[in-house]
Amino acid sequence: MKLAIYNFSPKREKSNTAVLLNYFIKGYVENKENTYNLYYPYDESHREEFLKNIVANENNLIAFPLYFCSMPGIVKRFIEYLDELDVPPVKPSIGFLIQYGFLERYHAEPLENYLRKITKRLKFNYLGSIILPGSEGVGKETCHFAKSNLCTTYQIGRKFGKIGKFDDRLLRNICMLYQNPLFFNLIIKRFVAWYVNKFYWNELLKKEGTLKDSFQQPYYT
Amino acid sequence: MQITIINGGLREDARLQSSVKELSSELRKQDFTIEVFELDRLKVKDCLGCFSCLVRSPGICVINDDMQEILKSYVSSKIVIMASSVTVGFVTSCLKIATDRLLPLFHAHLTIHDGVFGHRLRYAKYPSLVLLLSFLNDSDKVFLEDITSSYSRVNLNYRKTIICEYPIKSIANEISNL
Repeated sequence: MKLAIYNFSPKREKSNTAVLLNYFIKGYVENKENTYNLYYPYDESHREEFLKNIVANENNLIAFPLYFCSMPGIVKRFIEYLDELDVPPVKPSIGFLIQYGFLERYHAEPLENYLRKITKRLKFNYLGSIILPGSEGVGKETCHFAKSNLCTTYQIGRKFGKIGKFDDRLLRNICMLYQNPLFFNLIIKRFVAWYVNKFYWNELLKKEGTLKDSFQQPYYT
Repeated sequence: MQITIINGGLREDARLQSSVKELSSELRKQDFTIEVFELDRLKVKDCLGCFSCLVRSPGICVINDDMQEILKSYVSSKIVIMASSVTVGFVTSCLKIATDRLLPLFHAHLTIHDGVFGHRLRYAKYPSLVLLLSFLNDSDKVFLEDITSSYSRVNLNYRKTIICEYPIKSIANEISNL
């Protein structure tokens, strides 16, 4: 199987998207017959290359961070390019990998609906969307969310490498715990917010020497 | 009182462009100060995802382009209208890029808003956010719910989506009553 992977994160190789993709790839290439190419399209200059590759490969994986409950502007721009394409009779497939820091699936739901519908509208096969909440700091591989996401992404890649499809059960299982309102209720969420603010964001702000000024309102004139 | 219009519509979308013009003059008649940003004439680069606006220079975007003026106008407004043609089922890429660049309006800290996680608001008051959409193809209307949901799930005081099909006077009245 041939797979083209497009990492649209502006942080490219240093991004959380890249870390998660590495785990997907690790699983995918366990089947020795599988090959892949990884691209970093980040501006207009990659337009032709992107359009050529997306029809030349039977499978494509478009990966990006979630921005404002949706795809980043650059991903939207490349989706606009796809509208100009003549899709070959043997339709290539497109899947998506979307990662973000918040722990609920809620933030990505409208995007997931959009991607499913637009992929079909553009006359591609829709492989599915790997939605990965709780992926902030996934590269550190120490926290529970990170380990769980990395492990599931690896399994999705491995299964995809075998059967050429995303496993629905695995897609649903991602961060399952945090979708359970009984377990993950408002009190626990408040605790998580307090913990993350104190031990993650405040530490970063202290390191930059900006904790004191962090509430400034510079655009008020 | 100020209204900011961020126009991300296609130049060739005559319906949207004339709606923005007529709406501006109608709202001026109602004593609003209107500032219009035509995104296709401005330089607004893609968000770098660097989180500098959250950590290194809190509240300030490090990219020095026309978005700086949009952000100033945004926080000083009572209402912000984001106008867009709907292309390939969503707002145009240039409006989405401008939306992505609103991150400095948030603080790094997490908070719970309507039961879900979000970033804490940096400013005390946020303008009412209105989407003004123009559908170039009727078939794209199946995406209306996805567009509206995406914008309403961000803690940006989203109020309503108006489709560019109604008389301008009624759109202006709806907006001024927010």
